[in-house]
Amino acid sequence: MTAFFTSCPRAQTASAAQPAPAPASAPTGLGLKGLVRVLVLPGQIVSLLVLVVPLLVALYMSFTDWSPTRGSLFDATFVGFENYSELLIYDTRFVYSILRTALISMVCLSLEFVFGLGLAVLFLREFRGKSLLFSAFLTPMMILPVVVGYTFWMLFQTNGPVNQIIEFLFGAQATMEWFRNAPCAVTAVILTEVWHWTPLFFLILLSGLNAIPENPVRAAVILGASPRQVFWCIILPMLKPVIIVAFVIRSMEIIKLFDEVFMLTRGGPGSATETISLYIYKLAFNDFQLAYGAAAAFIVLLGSLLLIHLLLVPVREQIMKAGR
Amino acid sequence: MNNRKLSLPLALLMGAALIVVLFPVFWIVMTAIKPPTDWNASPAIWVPSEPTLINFRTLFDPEALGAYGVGGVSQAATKAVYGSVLATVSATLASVIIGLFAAIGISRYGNNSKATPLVILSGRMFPPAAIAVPFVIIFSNVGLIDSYLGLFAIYVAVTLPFSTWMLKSFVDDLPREIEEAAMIDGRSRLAAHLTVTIPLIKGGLFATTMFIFILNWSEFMFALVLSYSNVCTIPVQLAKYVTATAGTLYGVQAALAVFAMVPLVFVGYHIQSHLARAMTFGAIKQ
Amino acid sequence: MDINPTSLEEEAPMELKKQKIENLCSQYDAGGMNRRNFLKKMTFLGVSALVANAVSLSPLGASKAFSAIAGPEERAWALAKTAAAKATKKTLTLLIPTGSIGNMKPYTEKWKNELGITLEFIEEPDEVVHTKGMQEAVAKTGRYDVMMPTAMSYPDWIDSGVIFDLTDWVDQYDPEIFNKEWGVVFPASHHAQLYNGRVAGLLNDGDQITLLCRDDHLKNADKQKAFEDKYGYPLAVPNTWKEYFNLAQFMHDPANGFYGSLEYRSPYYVKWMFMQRLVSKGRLYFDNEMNPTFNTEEGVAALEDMLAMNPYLHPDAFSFTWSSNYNAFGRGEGFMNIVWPSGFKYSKAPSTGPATTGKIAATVMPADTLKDGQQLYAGLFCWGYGYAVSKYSANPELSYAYAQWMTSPTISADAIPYLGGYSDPYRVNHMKAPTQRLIDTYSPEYLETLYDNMVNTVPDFCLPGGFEYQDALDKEVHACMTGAKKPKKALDDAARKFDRITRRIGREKVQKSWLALARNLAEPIKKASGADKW
Repeated sequence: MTAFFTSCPRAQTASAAQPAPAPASAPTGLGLKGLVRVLVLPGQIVSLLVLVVPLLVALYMSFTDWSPTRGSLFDATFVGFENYSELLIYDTRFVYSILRTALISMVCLSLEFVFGLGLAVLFLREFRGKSLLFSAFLTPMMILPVVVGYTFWMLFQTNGPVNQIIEFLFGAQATMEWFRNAPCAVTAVILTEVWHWTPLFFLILLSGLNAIPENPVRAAVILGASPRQVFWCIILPMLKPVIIVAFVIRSMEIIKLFDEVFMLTRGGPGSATETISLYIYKLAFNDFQLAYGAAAAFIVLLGSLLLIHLLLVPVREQIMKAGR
Repeated sequence: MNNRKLSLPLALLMGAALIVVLFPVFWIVMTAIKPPTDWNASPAIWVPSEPTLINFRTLFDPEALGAYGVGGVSQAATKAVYGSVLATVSATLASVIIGLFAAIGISRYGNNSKATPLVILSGRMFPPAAIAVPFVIIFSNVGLIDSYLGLFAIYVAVTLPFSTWMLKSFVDDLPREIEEAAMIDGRSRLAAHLTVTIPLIKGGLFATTMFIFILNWSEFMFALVLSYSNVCTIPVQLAKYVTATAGTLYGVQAALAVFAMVPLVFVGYHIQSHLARAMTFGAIKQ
Repeated sequence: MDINPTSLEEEAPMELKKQKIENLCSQYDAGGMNRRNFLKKMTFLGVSALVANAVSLSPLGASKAFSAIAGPEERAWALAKTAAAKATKKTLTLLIPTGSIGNMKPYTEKWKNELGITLEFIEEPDEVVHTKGMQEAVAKTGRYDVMMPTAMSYPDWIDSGVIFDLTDWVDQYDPEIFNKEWGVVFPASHHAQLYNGRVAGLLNDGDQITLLCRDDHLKNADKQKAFEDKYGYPLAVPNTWKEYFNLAQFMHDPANGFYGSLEYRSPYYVKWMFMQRLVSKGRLYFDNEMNPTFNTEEGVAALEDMLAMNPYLHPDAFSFTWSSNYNAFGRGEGFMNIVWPSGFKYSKAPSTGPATTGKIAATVMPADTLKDGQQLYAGLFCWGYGYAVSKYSANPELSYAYAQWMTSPTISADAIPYLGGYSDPYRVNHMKAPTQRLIDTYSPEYLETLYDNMVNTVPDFCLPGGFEYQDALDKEVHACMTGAKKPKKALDDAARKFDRITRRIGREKVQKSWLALARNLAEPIKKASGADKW
């Protein structure tokens, strides 16, 4: 069963007020309100203290010129939107890192989608050893990003196995110095990401495919549709909400792309693979331009919120329907 | 769809995909058992002729590599392993317990609008580098910086949306009527939840716990910026080895990587059937 | 300035005390006092019993031995004794870069046994030390007592209030860093220790780069003849960059895994190869108004020189770190190498340089010909680790005592030769009056070379925001080396970034410290760059 946020339409306040047989003054002495408070409060406190408060601090900071070299945060000068305008107008490195992240994301997501869908379709049939293979194909997803980064860093060494394989297939002149020129380094990052996260697409799409009701498919086949037509006209549209879910989830993660690149290239050569997270990290924790880094982070947050929102719009109704 | 065999081209395709998927894993494991002479040999050595466990020993006894005339490892990884276990286990338990209560609260009595999922998603979207900045400042003022307590707090907070949302999807699956029957028996609502709801979602609870464990165990950036010298985790230690200037201790790093990877792969396989739900905040159920 | 060093004896100013000690010593020397009385009075003056004892027992007599108590090492030790006795926390924690511990480890037992102080070392990769210090500025954990950054960290660390301005301590306990005979070699004494004229740290690592050649190949008769036939001058260590290029080209033999040179092209390191060539051409990084001066004819020429060298480099030059570079040279994979002195030390030692031991000829960095036809010898002082004292340390005086003790002319001369660390000679006496161990580790000729090179060095970006400048430059130079950008474009882009960094940090603030740096450069470089008129 595919359901996006199944619970949303179902959990109404009305149901909480349903004629509950237990009296409000149950043996524990907790009223309904008290009970809800006990249940939800710890979570709210944690979120407030550890997420909301830091975010507000960061927001405040982003309007100051503070960095540790200028003394205490409380004495920092308020500079309005100066950090923001600096970032968007003068800081080409910031703008490029956004564009670069967008580019890497788009290429990665498309490849992951294609490979993931292909694998999922293969797994629709029954064959011997299927469950074992299924587990094997999920492996990359379960490895720590840092380890993935380190592993691929080794694979892409100039004298590493990737170059050995290339040499074996195409001769020595085709080998690459992967981390020394920009296109190669970007390719290495993309390949790493694709290897790491294609299994997620595979997993999500496979469960989506498995949930497609057989009747419409059968009907189409009876009416004489070719397998291709069935796939494009029936299966794919029905898969759409799942595909969107996969893309939304992956977009959220890839916008933050950091661990693997940090291990692979540290953003190099030059800034050829510097993603937005790496740049913010550099601003905040290498240069200690904390206020400036906070402003950069807020720009990215607003941008990604907007992006995810837009991604969700076309399918919202459909998703809600699927949930019922 | 009943043929038990794949056609030859499909089988070949599948085989090729399998090799691509497993090759990096093969490589890291092989590197972990290579003696120092094979680490960065040119051309690279695929399978060491003399496999050794020296790299694993070096993790806990920095002097061990001396047998091969290699120095330069001055810090044991013991602290990182200890730190990872401590922070991960404690934060996972706390996150799941708090999340469980919240999940029951929201699922049974909540007033969630359509915006709720988006709000929770937003929490996940924020680049960690950005939240890390105020954390460093706030934590340093309250003495939580470079402490396991600080790491614990941040891990709980960051994984809480996940645990809440995932557990909520399990509670939602449970028919209300079962709890209501318990309440008719005269038990309080809280008792009903504790004795009826929780045992019934046992499987989901386990899957959630394991998934949160994966998230915490893999976490890198917060540990990187919030740890100085008292605190270390495996990913940070791994990154410490791979830097522009540190030596090239391929084998030792690979050993640590394998060490870090094994529990996750193990746990991952065990919650395989719940992974899709976990990765999508419960949006996809299998 | 809010530092508050307590003296050994609060009521007696140092000068006065020094005189009293001197008087005592001469009295004792002249036989006017018995030993017991002498020791008692010395102890009263705050001189540790150990030192006083050494003086009174000294066969050379007290007057001769006085120079010993008066030395930086003994003053530091005396301070360490008092501070250690007062200290409630008996551990001294040091933040140090990975690879440097070997120079410090040998003294931990002495500190433990004689002072009861445990030395705890926290190692971080070189490029992380600055970050850790800045984090400490925010976090104020007090976890570190002594921190060992490169000279480039001082401005930001002082401004962030994470380390002490050491000037008052230096005045009081006099580490003799500016002494002509055993002080730190000028101009490193100024640009690697001071920030705006105040002492921020005590240098303990003479990081400059010099040129190493394989002497056995230079002495090869066939090669000598072939070289002279081809280039028209005898085969020898290069004096100019042109000769350096010719040599690399001539010796390059990739078929046998032997490469012309091993200079760096890797991120983080490659900027130094550019900066070195730039200063050889008589250019600094900025003019007196803080306008970048490297995106000029000279800068472009420097980058083009580097591009021309690329075919004659070790294939791993693009990923070399200091350690992989040292190892490759030590394995005999290159004819020349541009390295820190520790590179010489490691390739000379049989254990770390099996193929190079006894076969290295070294020289100062090659000269370049200026427009007026003059040859300019300029060096680059890069990295340059030093001891700084954390403001959040529980035992600041003890920390300072450690720094002064380790960097004193005597202890440092003893510490540097240890192979397990990369600390290199920096005081005049290390090079001009070396101990036998220093000579064995480096060789007399090389110590001379180091001195000759150091007197002409130009510093790193030891300015506020220094790490941002060097990172911006490094990225662009690297982009140029990998072919992503043309030289002029890369330098123009770097210059634009420099302007932005300067503007954001505050032009006047950077300018002040830049002029302070430029004031203390070697005369020929000042003259060539025009800095003598600023």
